[in-house]
Amino acid sequence: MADKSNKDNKVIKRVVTALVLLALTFAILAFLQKLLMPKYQKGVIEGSFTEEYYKEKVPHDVIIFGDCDAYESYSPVKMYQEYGISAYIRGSGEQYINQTYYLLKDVLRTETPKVVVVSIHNMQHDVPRNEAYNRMTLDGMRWSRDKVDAINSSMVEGETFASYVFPILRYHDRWSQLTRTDFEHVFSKNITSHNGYYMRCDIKPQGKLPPPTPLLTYKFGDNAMAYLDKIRVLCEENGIELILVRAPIEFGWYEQWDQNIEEYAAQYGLTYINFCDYSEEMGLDMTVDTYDAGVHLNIYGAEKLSVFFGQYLVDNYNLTDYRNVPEVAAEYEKDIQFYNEMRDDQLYEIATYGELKSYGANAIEN
Amino acid sequence: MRPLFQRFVARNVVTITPFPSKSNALRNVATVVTVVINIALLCFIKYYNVLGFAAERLNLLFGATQTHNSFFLYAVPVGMSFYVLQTSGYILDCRWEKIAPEKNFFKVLLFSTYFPQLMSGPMNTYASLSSEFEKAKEVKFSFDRICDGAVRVAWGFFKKLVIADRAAMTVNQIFADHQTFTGLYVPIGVIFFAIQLYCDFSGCMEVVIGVSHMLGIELPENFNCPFFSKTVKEYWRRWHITLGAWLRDYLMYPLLKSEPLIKLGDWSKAKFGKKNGKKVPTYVALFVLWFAVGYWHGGLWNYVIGSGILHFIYIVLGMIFEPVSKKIRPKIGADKLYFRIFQSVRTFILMLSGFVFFRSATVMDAVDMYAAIFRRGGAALNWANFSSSGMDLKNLIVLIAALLLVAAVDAYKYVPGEDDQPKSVITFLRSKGVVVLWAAFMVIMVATLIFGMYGLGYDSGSFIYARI
Repeated sequence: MADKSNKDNKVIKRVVTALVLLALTFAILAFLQKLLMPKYQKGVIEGSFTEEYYKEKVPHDVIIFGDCDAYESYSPVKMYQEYGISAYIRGSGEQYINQTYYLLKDVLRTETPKVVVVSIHNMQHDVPRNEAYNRMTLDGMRWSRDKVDAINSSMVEGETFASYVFPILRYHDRWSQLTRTDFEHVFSKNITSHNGYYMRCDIKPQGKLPPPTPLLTYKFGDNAMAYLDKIRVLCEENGIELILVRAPIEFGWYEQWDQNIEEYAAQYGLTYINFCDYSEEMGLDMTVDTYDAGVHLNIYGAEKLSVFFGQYLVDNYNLTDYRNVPEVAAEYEKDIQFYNEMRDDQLYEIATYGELKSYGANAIEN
Repeated sequence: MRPLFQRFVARNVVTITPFPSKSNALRNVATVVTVVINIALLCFIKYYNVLGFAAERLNLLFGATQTHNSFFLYAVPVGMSFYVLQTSGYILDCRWEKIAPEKNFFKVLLFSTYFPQLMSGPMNTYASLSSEFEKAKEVKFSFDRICDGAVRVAWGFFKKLVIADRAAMTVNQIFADHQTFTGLYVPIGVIFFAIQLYCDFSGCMEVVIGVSHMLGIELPENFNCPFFSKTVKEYWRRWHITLGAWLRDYLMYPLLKSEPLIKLGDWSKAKFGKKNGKKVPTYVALFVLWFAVGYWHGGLWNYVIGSGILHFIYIVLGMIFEPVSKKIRPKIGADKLYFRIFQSVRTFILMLSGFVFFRSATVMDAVDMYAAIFRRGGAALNWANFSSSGMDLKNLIVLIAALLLVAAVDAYKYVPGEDDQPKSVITFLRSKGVVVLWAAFMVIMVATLIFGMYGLGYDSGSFIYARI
């Protein structure tokens, strides 16, 4: 009897030891994975944008998708202040159109916006071409069937699905580049955007832009067009108004591409707004409204565009004025405070050092 | 391609050798025909590009690389060098009546294609591996055995991904550009290659033996601290042990017992006296053995020289000077530690001389590597030039730390236990408790995960010997 009890105790001890060691193994690996993954808290913050959406506590009537043309051109906070619009930008660095589709599906899991705005700047890439941008968009996505599909449709040569499931396989070689930021933000990250908007307050006037290099063909790729179609159908199925837009940036774009989009929009009765056509109307001045010589808008340009676009949205769509919804307004008050603090901080740095120190390229740690 | 070839080999092996022939002559013919077909297939498929056409053959001696007639460069069955030798060994064992011919086709097929060792060995005899298969039938699931195997597998990947592939950065740069990296860079590159090759191949063996151990099948060890060897002869008893044993048992000993060499021995004893004359057949057999070792490594002349002939010369010189050495040793304090270290360093340097040929693309390249040691005008020996391969200070620290760990483990194994058997680090760790074993596993696994040279931008796909 005593022997049996001793034997049982031994078995229990072994099982408990095995379970504890197994748990420790997973904990250590999980910690190392978190430590080694890029945090995107300084410098290249665009990699944070995808996951920041999940921290939102308010509903959104308007969601904007796209690459830098999306997240650097529209200020949702400004739209809220002016019109009470609750908007969010699900943008990311060089977000490809297939990723836009899956991010939209991802959004529809939790909310159904009244208007979806797609910045068509990313139509120029038929298929994903850069692993680093893939990671910035996809790493932050919550796991779902849509993330799996987004990964499978995005991977470029050399990428593996396993490295998305276990990012340590991709980022293990960051061991030699770890900074204080990596240790500080192992378990929690700061919000870096303003409802997905990437704020820049510095100014670098636009000079004379070089003429665009002629292309062999101006037709968008079949893959890109197929995903644009999928987005359109998905919006139709969910009763969402789809608007195609182009930011008022002349750099790196072709008139023929505009024609392609105009034809597509006309074919399906969609709205396409080329904001380059309204630059004067919105009062855009590219000697002060851009921070990198005309490639992207700064806060001044983005606010002008947001006021103009916001007016269009409230005029044409039945959007809620969330300034009158107390619980949403309370959240937006916090957003406005954060927005103003960052703007003031950037202006202080510009006034003190003549340039930004804690934001943009100067803040990149390695 | 591979299954077809395997079926062909297996059919040869199974259908011919068990044939209850009525005469020795017929059995000999069956044996010779089967072995020749095996070896000929290997030579034809694997060395097709080396043999080439008559016009190309001369070029191959000095300069030509495996670029001609490239069909088989892409179609060579994986691990062919290993299982051709294994199946040939099986045929010879049957003929020499060391084993009874196996009548079950699938057992022979399993022997020749047992997956863990298929690509890179270790080489095995049918008697040994089949008895392991038989034992495995009785093996029950054991958590301890899985853990032990996992530790070995992790250790293998540590050696491969943390050390071998890291050292490869420097090796690749220096060997690819020895017009620029001259002088001391050449010995540095060769030393790094020795580290790379050892950790790559022995790492591969750790993985193979570890996986097999998990399945309850014990494979023979293929390495035993080779860089601690005192002589070249000892080195080859510690490096690629199973290949050496195979060639000794199936090539050298039969050669020594063959009629032509016995006759040669009689003739040389009459000509050079009994003491010296009896060594002549040994030298001839050794030459054939080492030529085969070199040729087996890839068929190119740089392998024949670097892994074969050069070692033959060292071993024969060692045999010739052994009487002198025996006389000198007591006078210079050969039992002292410094002499022991000197012997290991000397052997290591001799091995490096062969590695220059082994790593170079051609014989001419290897000769030029030697010339580069004395050439002036190359890149200055400084940190900026050295680290331009990617071997920056952090990587070098990781490499050195990992090497120290490997050296410590090897040193532990090198000193035999009380029973005169090599010690097992895993047994030692297990004796300290499961938590210690787990901690060791975690250290190895985490170090490999973090410091391993794998993933996007790295080419860590293949083990060097898997290409042989």
